[in-house]
Amino acid sequence: MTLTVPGGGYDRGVAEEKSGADDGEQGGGSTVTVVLALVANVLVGALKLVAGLLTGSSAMLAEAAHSVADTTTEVFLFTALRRSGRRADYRHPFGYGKERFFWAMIAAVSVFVTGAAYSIYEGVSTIVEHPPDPAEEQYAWVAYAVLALSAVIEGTSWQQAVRQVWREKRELALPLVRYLRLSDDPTVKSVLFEDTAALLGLLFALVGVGLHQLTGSSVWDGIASVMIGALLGFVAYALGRTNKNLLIGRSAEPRVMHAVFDHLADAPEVDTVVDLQSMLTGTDSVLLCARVDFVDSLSAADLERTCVRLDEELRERFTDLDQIFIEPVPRTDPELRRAVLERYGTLLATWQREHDADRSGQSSTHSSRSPG
Amino acid sequence: MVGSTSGRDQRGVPSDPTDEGRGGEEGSGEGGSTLTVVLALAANAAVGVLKLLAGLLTGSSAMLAEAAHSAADCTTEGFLFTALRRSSKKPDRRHPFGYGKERFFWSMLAAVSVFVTGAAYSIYEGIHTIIEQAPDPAEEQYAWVAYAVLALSAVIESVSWQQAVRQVWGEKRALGLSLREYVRLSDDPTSLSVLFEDTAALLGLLFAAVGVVLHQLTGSSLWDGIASVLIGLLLAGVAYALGRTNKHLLVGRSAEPRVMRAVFDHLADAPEVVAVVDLKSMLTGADSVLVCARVDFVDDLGADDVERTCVRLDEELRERFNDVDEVFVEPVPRGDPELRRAVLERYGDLLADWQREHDAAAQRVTPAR
Repeated sequence: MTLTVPGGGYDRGVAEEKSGADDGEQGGGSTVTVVLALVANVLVGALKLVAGLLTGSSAMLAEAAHSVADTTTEVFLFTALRRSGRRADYRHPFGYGKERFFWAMIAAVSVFVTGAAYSIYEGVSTIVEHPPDPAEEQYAWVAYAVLALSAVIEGTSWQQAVRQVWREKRELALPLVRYLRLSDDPTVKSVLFEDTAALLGLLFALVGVGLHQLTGSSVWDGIASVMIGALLGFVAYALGRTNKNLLIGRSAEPRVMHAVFDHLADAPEVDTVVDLQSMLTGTDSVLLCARVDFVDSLSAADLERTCVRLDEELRERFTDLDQIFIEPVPRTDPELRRAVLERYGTLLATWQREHDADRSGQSSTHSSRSPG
Repeated sequence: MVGSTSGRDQRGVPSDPTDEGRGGEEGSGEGGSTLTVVLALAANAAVGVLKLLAGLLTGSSAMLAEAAHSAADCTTEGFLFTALRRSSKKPDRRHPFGYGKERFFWSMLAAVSVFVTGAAYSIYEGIHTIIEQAPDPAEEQYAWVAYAVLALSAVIESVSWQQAVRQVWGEKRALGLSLREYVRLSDDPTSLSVLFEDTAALLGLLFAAVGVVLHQLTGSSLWDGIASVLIGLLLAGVAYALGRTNKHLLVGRSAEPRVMRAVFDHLADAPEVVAVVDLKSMLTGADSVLVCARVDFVDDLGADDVERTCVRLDEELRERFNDVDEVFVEPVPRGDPELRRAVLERYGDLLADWQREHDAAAQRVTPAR
């Protein structure tokens, strides 16, 4: 119940301050993160390719492929940021927000295919063939230099991503794992994952080249490639899964849903909240559909005004809410109850009970409801 | 299946041959998609093995490209099968609008896989052949193997192709749409994917045959390489077309304009409704549409009347348009300026025109109203 108390935790963080004040800044933040990552990858990729060709190290070539994959990813993410801002029109009346999820998805697939598949292929062929290549041993210092330089450049991009993720996480007061699971901005998350994988990949490549030089066997090089590939495969899978859920239509966070439920149930005109559904339709954009039983003594005109007022209140308090539809229904409709039970179990009934208990406990009905 | 209403009932008479048909058709349509996909999978696996053997035996790059093409197609069908299986999951609290879009998602991955495995490999293999032009005696010697495999593949692929054509044509006819409209508006990407892919497969076989023949006649493997590149381009085209359709569906496409119009008229026809202020829809899966409307009700109704009316309209709409899955009707005053602005931005004058036409028609039928 803390949620509806002004200043109490979550809905403040997520919905009020974050998008309202930061909206522009946040889009800008994501763009900076993506562009910085793009520049870093192009630089690093060129370095690695030169080193790979010079030394013939498969781990180095795998790393070059990794950079190509990352660059492609950033182009997709840039597309995501640019295209998701389009306004709703008659062909897509709920807007184009999901384009961001779509392009982030494609980016994940490209990481998987270009990066993971190529690295593993290159690694396995090195392990199977392991040709003794004198050039590789001779030019090992090139490989070390490039890896070190790459680490510095990638580190810059990584820091920017970490900074942005940390700030958002702090604003929402969520632990890191939860934030990453619930985040509805796949672009920053993609960059963070990808850069982390890049730094780990550099480490693998370094160990591979080092062991190769020490033992004289290129098997180590091949093993490093395969591990880089596996790492990329894992990153692609994690990103792909998030974006899949977002594309299919994920509900808003349970905490927001509960707060919205309480807000609706608090209205004096509302008898019971019968059904509540939501879908993330983009980054910082939520569609909310509610079915509510209103007090019977109201007239149709009152009802219309109430709906508009609740719309405005909710959108003011939870700035992520973009479209709201409140349908008046009788609480007892059996078909409706069955549908809600199937979808939510007894969740909504529990919320209603808690709310009613709270309301009768407090006696002053509206004290908990003050928009921003 | 296209989210459909039938006959445009501009004339005010709600005649919905398609909708009536749809109730019964639903089950068989689903089964039809599965049959189409499974048949395509079997055909591709068989053909792929044949092509691979022929490719290894003759060393023809066009033949190997065709084998890659079959591998891509098998992966695609795997994804499409996943699409059919997973999209029927019931809505739960994490996805309250259901899992219908899983179908679009997996079809999207299928398109990407066609692109990557098929197109990229074929083009790579073709260019490789063109540049190296290795004279390979085995290829000329075993040319008959290539011909036999191509012929056999054509027979097997066309069985799968026929099934896809039959299903798409059936749906297209049921909806009274032209082929191009159907392709643009369809919300079942699975059978469409199979149709596109099989058509590309048959064209690809033709290219490969021409490539092998020209190679045999001229003795230059250049033709073989060119055929590979063409097969690759064909696959890329297919992947692009499928990807685009699925992107729109994933992002959240509106239902067909004809359906929207019919829903609008249905709402506006209700005696309790003064004006339909806003109307939005989104395809949330194959055969599943979310409809959200904002409606101005007659002012002297009571709250309980409005509640009952909303439930009734819900039921009526879901009964008449079988594809409609969730309906939300919000009562709003017609005059709210912010709302009007939002609607204008999104739709232009479209809804206002519909309202005017509807009012005019209603006046003609019953001058009392």
